[in-house]
Amino acid sequence: MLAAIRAGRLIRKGLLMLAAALLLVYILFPFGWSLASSFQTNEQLFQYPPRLKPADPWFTNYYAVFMGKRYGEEYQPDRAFTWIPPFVLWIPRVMANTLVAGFATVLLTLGIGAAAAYALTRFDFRGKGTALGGTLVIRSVPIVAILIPLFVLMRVLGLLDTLFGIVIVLVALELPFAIWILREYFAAIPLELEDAARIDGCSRLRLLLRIVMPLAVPGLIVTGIIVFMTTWSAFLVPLILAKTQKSMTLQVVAAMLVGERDVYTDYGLINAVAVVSIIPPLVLALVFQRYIISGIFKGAIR
Amino acid sequence: MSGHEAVLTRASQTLGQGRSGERRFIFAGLVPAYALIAAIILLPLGFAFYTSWFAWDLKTSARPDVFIGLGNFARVFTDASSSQVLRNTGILVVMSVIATVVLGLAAALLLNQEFPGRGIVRASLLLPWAIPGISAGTMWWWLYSARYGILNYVLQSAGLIAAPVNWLIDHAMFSVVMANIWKETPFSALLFLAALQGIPSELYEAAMVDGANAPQRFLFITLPLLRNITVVILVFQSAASLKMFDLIFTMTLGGPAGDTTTLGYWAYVTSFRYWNFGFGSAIAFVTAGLVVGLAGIYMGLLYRRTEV
Repeated sequence: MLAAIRAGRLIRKGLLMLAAALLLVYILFPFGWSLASSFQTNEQLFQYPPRLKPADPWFTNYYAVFMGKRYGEEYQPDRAFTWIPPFVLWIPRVMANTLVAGFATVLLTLGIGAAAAYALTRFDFRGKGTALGGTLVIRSVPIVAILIPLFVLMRVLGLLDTLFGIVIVLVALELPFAIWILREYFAAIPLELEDAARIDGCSRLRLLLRIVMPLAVPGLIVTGIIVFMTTWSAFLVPLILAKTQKSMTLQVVAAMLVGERDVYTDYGLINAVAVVSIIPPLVLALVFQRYIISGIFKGAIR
Repeated sequence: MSGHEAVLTRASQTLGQGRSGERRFIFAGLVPAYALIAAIILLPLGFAFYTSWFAWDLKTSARPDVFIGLGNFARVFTDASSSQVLRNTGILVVMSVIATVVLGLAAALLLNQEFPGRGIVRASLLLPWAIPGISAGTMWWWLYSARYGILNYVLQSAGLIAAPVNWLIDHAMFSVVMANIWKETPFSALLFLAALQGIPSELYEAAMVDGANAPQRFLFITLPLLRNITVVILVFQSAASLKMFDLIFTMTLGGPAGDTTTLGYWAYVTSFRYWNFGFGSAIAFVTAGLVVGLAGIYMGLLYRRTEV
């Protein structure tokens, strides 16, 4: 009897683990195949059956991505394909652009968003409901709807093809989300603390900077990480506003590389670029998973 | 929250500074954020709305000048491509929403159980959501590759297909939908999981004492308590599929022959490939209207059912 129950439990656990393993394979398989392919050259990728063995040397595609030339090119001048799509040569610059835009967007969004979120959490004023409701509706507007006027606006302002122009747009697009989440964190700070500080003669600004902000650090981290990930992945805005490597971001180059189908498609190189562009959000997701999940939940619920 | 806020408002009124200082503080806090939102989102939105009433072709005119009333909006539904685009959009939204809810709930129920390795699976759930859409599109485009794709190899080895399938040509919309489901399901699963973990275990214990079996507990405790989060997921996923762009851009470019062109992609192509800004704006507005409209319907359903 007891043995039967124990066996039942084991079977149940085994079935759960089997289902979980299937789920894990489903989630990770595309990553794994891209990663494996990123270490191979076209000659190897065209073999049947497919192989997992890396090329020699394994980093050949990554070398092309970061150095802007084929590995060993100088020793084998007659090699068939030493051609690299011109925009791949932009990648180091473009990655720096994406990182700078990401950090700038995060800092500006947090600064501007926290001020607004605090005002919306702690004060009652006329039009507050409208401001909040408006924030919610703005979040649901598809970016496609404002692309044309944005393009025109940025041309008028002379901000086309500038990183500054892209950052300003991304900040505006992220603000509604940031305000919404930060409000949750500010609302959770005990009022007694703020009241006590006020009675001690602390000014509003000092109160905000010295007491409220430090307590809201978890909220700022969550918001900052999610905003960084969104900015890193942003595609439509840089696609429309960037023209050259001055302001282009990694996603635009990655998409151009896939779009270059008809000339000569270097599948290994394409996968290497995909892997490179996946790494930052992947690392953030793994390191801060708890923060991010609670952030998604807070942002989605209210 | 409003109770707390009222207390603080009253407290701050009686304390020092008084109303004008507080006004200035609120003002200083709100102005940068809302000025930026107004300039970058609301102003363009207004301009796009204005544009959508004009036949504005950038190839022939630098500004919108030929007023055609609702002509562009009518054309969204009567254009030669309309029926195809609307059907594609419908397939994408309906299939993605249903699959992400069903699969997401299944994954969440699984991860709500105790078993070794649960943490790894839960952490990996974040990954498809976290990566750029362009990268996901690239990965799936490569997976689907007819000649060199691993998918065909696996299916052929398993004897499920006789010859390699041209996924992105012959089953383009289906393939895009499957990639979208892979990318979006984890988000639903994580929200479901968070909601499941918020259900007090006393409820289940009480039901077990009353003799309710597992299916009954699921139907009468779990499902009703997941209603709110389900509405949230419906809103999010409908909006996400209506806005979805990156996967189509990398995998099919809306083709072949418009087979994977959805409203969002159509708006982009019309504006930035054919430079027809008037019509492009109208398509974008119909898309935006659908996003807001669907959210409204779900919310309405939620609140009406809560009150009853």
